[in-house]
Amino acid sequence: MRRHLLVAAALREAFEREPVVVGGTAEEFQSSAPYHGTDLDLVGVVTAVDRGALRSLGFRKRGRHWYHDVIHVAVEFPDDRLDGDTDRIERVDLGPGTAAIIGVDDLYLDRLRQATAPISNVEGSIEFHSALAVATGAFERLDRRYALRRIREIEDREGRIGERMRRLDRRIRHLAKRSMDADAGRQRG
Amino acid sequence: MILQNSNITCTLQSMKPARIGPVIERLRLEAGLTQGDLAGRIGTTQAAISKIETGRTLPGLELLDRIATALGRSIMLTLGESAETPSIEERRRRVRRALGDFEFDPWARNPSAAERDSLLADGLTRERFSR
Repeated sequence: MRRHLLVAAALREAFEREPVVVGGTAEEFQSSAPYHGTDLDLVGVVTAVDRGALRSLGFRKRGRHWYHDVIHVAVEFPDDRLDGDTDRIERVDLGPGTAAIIGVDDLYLDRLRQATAPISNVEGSIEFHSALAVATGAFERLDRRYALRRIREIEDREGRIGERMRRLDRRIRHLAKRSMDADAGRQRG
Repeated sequence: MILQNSNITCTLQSMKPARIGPVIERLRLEAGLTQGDLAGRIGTTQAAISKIETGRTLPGLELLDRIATALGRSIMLTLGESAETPSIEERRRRVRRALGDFEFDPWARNPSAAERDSLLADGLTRERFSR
């Protein structure tokens, strides 16, 4: 994860506009979950100048990724706009540079939305466990009021997806709380 | 100590120039001000604002308060509290407990050729995750 974050910090310096870490790297950072990210997902506009910067840093285009043959990091730009509140972006000082990471609340909502995708065995899916990992790892930091407001907005706009997110949120919240209570009990005992 | 306004919430220990600068820049642009305009309103120089916004300088609390006021924002200081953030070890333990037997298998996510090379370079072979 640190290697991915260092790349994000380097690109933040090189790019015209700040790219924001989303996806698995953000999940590992925000939840401490052993997600084993396969690539570095960055949200942001990639200009011709930025593409030149990627090449000059040693990246080459491979399919949908930019790949670095020495440090073996695959970078993808899945979207040019962050789905969430830019005020909640977290900037992490890594020493040599600073990486911008999607806020934990928006990351949770993203994971929750993805968890609505599986048609069967939802609670056995990677997406469900991703949302559960974020909810548990960042339990104290999650802004419930914000999350519920965003879910309501999605419900208004997209109906069933929002409704499924609300149900999954309730279930995931319950499981996260149970895990925390068990942990607290173990520590007391 | 926690410092917060309607857009910033952070402990002073984590209050870094790189975090504060972009927020101030965004709020200034939202207020329709140039760096020179803001500098004029708070009695400093455009260069000083530039240094803050680009993360080269961390403004002191007094200056930050003047900036917030000039941008129509307020800052609230809360003494005697800290953000209760569990240690990484504690979070890992908790997450592990919540996940139970589930293991994130990157190979189940249909990695692309570039992702496969990245996984193999990290020693995360397919066999390592096969049950």
